[in-house]
Amino acid sequence: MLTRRKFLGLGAAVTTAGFASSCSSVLPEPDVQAAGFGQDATGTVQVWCRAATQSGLTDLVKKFNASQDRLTVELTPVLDAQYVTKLATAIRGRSVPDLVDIDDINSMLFIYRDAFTDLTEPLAALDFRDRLSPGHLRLATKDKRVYGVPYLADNSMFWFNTELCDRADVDPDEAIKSFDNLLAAARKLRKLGDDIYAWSFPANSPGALGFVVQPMVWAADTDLIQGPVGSQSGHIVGNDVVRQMLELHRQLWVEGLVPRANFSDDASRWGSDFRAGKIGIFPSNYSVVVSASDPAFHRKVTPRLLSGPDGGSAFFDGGDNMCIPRGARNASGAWEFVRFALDLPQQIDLPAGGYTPVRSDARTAEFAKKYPLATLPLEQIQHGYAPTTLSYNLLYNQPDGPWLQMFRRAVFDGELEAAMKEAQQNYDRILRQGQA
Amino acid sequence: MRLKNTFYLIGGGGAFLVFAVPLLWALFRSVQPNDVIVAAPNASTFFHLTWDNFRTLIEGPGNLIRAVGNSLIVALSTAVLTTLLATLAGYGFARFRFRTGPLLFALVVVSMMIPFQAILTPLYLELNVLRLTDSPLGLVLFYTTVNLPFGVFVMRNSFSSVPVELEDSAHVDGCGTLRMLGSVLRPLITPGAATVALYAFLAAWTEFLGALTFLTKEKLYTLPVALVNVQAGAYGEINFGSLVAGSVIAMIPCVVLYVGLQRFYVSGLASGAVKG
Repeated sequence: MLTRRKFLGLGAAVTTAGFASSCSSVLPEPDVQAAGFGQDATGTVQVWCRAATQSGLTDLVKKFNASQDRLTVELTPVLDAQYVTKLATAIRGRSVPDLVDIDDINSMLFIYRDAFTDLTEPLAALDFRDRLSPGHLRLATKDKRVYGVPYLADNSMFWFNTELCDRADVDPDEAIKSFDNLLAAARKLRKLGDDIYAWSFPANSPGALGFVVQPMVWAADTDLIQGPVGSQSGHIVGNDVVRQMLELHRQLWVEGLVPRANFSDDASRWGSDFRAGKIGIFPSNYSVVVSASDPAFHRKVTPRLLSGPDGGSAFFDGGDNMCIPRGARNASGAWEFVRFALDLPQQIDLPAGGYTPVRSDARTAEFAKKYPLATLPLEQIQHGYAPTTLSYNLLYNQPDGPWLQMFRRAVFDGELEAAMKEAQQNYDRILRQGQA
Repeated sequence: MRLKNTFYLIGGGGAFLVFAVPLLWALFRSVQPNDVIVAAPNASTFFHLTWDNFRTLIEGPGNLIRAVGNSLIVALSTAVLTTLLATLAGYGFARFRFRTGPLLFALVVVSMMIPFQAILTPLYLELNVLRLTDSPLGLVLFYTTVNLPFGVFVMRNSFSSVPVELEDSAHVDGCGTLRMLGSVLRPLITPGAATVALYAFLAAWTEFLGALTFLTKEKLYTLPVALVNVQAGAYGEINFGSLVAGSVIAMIPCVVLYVGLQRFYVSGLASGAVKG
């Protein structure tokens, strides 16, 4: 007879068995070399994308679903701040989507834990493989194997308000040649009026600040992190470029060349001051400057790559990589969708959604005419960079992370030495823990 | 007397303004374009009113109308199930004497003190094994579980406040337990049940973290998740136009229900808190 005690015991045993069966660490990898992979697939493809890029992806999915009737793509936008946690939980629960369109900076986190499929061979078969953004690919490459495909680019650049520059006699090309020139240009711009500022940076938003300020260090061929993944450490104390970058921003603040509101700017209204025509030099991206403003304003702005203490060029190679998680049920369909997303007509359409293509050959004459402010990173695609690390979020995106703390302490409190020393210790600690 | 009335008017008027101004301000902002909301106030653009924010929400990629439907289904189901279970459990705890009764009731009340956020990952894994993730049913069961302790507490106290003699008379007249619950006690416990229903509805309607964690299909997203997705940018930018218009849409059922049921709600809370 099934007594209550036996029933409860049985229930506990079944539950334990259920959990035990779901505890194996790595999911099975789809066979990407099987004959017919990525061709004439059928069924449904579950795709996750970032909420921030859902607008363009929604149109892409509609276009793909309308282009054939074998395969249906279902798109799920996931909040940017929750993406890593949610994907990790899905992998842990062995219930993964077929394709993830993930912030490229987070790709390595999953690649390092064997969560994504090796796409080296299918990628090599693409005839435009050599034209794909090298910065994006670097973030998806481990031991010369590639685990992700670039889809869209989100790059940081200097944006100059040409109307203000003309009035202040500032030449953008001269200004970016050194930090001294930039500071001199900023002083001239500030003299245009009490409500006109030279520059603006979101000093209370770690992510946006890292996006626009780090390339000013990379332009001098150095970084705040050193070493390969697995044995990385901070490169801050003794790094003269980092010191000069902080000194430049300190000077901008002390001399009142930036709005006081920068102190608490969390990027929730990012770019509203620049779009209102009140800022001369604005490090930001295409989406913030161009997508949110009208065509009359577009004629007043010109982009330049971010530069270092003695010139040089760099931009943050942000954006999305498309990766197929291990355990995907329709990897073949996912790859078919990836190839569609990388086709030139789709790539050329990207600026309409606020982002730029990842194929250098997308910069056609027609493209340049339609999106003149989106061509610069494509022409200089080799200057794109982003650090490959497992700890990017902890270092750069957390409000209590060492990047923001160092910047604020150095720029607002003027304690440059102490800020750099403290950051060095925290970078070392976080990188060590992340690689353990 | 006149002085007292004046104070009453000033106090009441002040309290009204404190609560009404933010709501009216949200209504006004919801019909302003985003770039006007984020810019410094400018007399020339301040009164350019438009329905664009609502249009973007309804026609844009967020599928807000579907999200409202999902939220209504989940919140109403949660309210009904919670009220039903809390009523039955509350009656049991209030009227039946059994050895482990006080201990069980203490356990139910103690469980109110554990925030579900603390056990979110185990909950996800458990629901995943039971195939209840990506399912409105899973979400309803989860919300019901979270809301039940408070519901049982209120309903037990509601039943305790009803004189036992009333039930004894009904028994003498040949009334069974369920019939008595439905016919004799129902009018007396309506305030408590309305409180439980309203509380469960509002909690399910506004809940974000659980829905975000347990749902991975956009067509199942509830309103709070869809709203955050629509207004959030890559670097923390917020589309204030979408945000405030979405908030206006989200507040409609809450205001309607609250105004409709507030009489019950207040007396139900009092019976739960004082008479128990």
